[in-house]
Amino acid sequence: MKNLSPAPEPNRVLRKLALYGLIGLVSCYVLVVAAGYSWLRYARKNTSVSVVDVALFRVTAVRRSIAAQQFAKAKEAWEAKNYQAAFLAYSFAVQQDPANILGRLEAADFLRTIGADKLAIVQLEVGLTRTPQDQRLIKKTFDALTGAGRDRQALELLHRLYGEKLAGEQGPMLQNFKVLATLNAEGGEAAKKLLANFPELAGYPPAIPVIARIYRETAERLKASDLLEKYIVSQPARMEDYALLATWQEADGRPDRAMETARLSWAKFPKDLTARVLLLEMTAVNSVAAIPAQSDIESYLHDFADRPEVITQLATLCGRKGWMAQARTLYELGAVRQSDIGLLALAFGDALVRNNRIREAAEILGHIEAQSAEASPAFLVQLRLRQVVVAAALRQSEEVREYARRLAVAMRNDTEAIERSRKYFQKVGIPEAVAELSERPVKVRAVPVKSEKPPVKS
Amino acid sequence: MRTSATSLLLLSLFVFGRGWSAENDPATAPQVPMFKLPPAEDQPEGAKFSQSELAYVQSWIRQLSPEFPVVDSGSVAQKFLEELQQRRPDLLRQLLTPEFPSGKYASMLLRQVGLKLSGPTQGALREEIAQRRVGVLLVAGGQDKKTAEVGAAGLIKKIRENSPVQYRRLMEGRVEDEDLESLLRKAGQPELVKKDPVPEKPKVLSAADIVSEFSRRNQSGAALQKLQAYVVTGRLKSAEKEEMEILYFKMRPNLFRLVVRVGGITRYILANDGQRFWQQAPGKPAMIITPEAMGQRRYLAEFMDPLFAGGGYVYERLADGEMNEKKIYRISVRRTDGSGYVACLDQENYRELARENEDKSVTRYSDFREIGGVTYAFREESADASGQKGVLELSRITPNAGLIRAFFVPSSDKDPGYFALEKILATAEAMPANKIN
Repeated sequence: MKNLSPAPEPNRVLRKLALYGLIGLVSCYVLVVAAGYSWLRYARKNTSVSVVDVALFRVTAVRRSIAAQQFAKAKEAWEAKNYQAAFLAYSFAVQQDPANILGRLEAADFLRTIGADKLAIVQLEVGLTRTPQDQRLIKKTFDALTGAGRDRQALELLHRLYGEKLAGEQGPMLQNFKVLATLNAEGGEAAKKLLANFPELAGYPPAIPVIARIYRETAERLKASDLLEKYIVSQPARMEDYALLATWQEADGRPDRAMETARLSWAKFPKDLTARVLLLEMTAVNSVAAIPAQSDIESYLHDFADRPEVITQLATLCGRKGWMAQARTLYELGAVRQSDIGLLALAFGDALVRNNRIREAAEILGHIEAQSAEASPAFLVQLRLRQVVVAAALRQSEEVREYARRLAVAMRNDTEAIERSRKYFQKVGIPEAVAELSERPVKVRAVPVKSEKPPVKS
Repeated sequence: MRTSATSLLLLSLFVFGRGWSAENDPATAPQVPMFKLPPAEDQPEGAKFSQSELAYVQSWIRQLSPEFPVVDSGSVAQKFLEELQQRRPDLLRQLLTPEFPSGKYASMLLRQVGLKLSGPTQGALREEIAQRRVGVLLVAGGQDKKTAEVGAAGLIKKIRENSPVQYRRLMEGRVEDEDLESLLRKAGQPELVKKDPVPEKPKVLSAADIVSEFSRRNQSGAALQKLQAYVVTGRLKSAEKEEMEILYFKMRPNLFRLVVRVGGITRYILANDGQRFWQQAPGKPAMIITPEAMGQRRYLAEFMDPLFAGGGYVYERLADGEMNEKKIYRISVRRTDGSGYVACLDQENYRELARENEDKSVTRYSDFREIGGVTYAFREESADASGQKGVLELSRITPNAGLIRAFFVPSSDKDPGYFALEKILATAEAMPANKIN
């Protein structure tokens, strides 16, 4: 009889197998962690990721660290004017760490530098959708939208993210943007109605210029001026607030106060060319002749001689105020100093219109038209706007419609820009132009749906 | 105990491992939209490309040509992507990756940039972009960047001399990469010894034939018809070695304004408002000048070279001649007032090389360049009967610059002084320390 050795117990076999399996898995784990860490540390040269982060699979921490590295790289590339590399780095960084608000804001600034304003706005919107209560994102996003004339888009975003109730810590800021966008898109009366729902806005300083504008547009002219005046004295106002106030005060027959406002702006912004132009304008308005003194023009030109826009800025003012002789002299001066004098010609034409010399203005626009075959769209928009107004003044209905059509073409079917022009023509009473611009098919706004292929960074 | 530890490890690998591999490897990362598209109404019609793709190309434009206006970069990016899609649709997938062969397609992008630079004031930038484009092609062909930059300038000069038409097309971004490469190859080759052509029976050309050929060869298509006004800037070195800056404004049909400046200050203005000539100097009112007193200067009112004009002049072919070893046609040009001159045209390319004037003075023209489709001589050298010489070298010609009729009319005495304001600006520019900022 054979002495057979006992068969191994099935449990023992299993235990052995489990042990080998465990050893195998641990080895794999160690291998994966080592490989991952080495790749990050040596291939990606990321020094801020620790072994523990990798070993414990701290995905978010690792992604943030990679993104931070890419943001730094992007900034460096931007400073070195390597825009292509900067774009890829920013794109990848934002994708890796979408919650990095500072990085996203910087990426938006970069996008605006390269002319990708639409993508910048989109990126800000995406950021705001993720963190709707972030003050920096709220300000930058709605400043960008209202500044670009996308007021309806701003209103839609406000509705989508915050509903009707704009409360909480950021409530006043959101309410202010809602009122501003409503004022721009729908006019003073609509904004006034809305403002009644937000009583706390009166105590929110940045809202004061907006409220003042509402008063102005709803025939409470003096109230508007007084409110804005108090604001610029007590708050860190912007240059455009001073300019707006001075213009209102002058229009209200208070040139002395307009002068005071211009002086204040000049004291506050001594290097700002527009502040100096405002001072020159109000000094002229207060003078007996109501035109700028030769000495004031000379002094202005002397102080800002190195600025390329020095002549155009003053010529634009002369056009707006109807100072023909000055506009003409600045045209002559510009002709020997700058290669593009189309805007100076338009300013001279504006001055003629202000003095009811419409036929002469029409002749100037005709000359410019004949030379504008290769003009930029922005210049063409300026030209077409004037052509519509001048043709209307000459009661040439067919021409008004034709120029309005050409205006829409120059605006490249930008519906918001066309809508602004339509409102302007409505305000100044040119029904043919309003009709022409209203007849254009308005595209249906679509909710952003198309997904994007994100840039890939190796 | 061991079993539970194993399970935990397996579980953790399963749970976190997926997240790790999927989210951190860009190559396998889910295609999460980083940038959402703006509403459809904000996109250009027929847009096929994502905002990211457009923005990437815009960043590339900014890099290749920082001077290019950013407001126009969007439309250039769109055009470039359309062309890329047509030629290499497979490459669009690589566009937002570092693998995209930027160097190979930089020339195509610069061509689109050149096409967009059509404004009358963008000539210098257009030339710069064309040169960069040639440089980029040379780099793509294996040259190092520095050599390519130098080489590009030389090649462009050669193309300008050999083929003004191709040069103009290159400046305007109308030469495709394949054609440009072959053009560069030709320009880079040493000049071939021209074979003697089979002698043809020479056709006897009349004055009208020559004038018509001049008009055809010195403009592209109907470029002259589009030219309504232009500004010429240059420097005049007189026989007395005095140097003056010349600004010469011209507008159809016969308006001109000549501004002569020294050190940024106008010495005098000589002009024609369409009906009368006038002159003005600093501190003096404008003075009307009779055509007789204007003398030869009254022909400054001719908008273009009379050889372009067609009507209103009488042309007569004179005996051919030779100038600088070039055979020339000699055409007598007679105006309606009886005055005239002899135009000397290069028989090979119909450039006007010289004018023999009635007072025995001779004006020689050289450095021909095409601006806005019309050929101009950028250098004029005049010598009078006694041998005194003056040289006018043009630095810029701006077609359709925005001139208006009122500019050619003398200003009233009440107008604020152009001369005074000009002096203020010139003085302030000379003393930068006095500036506010």
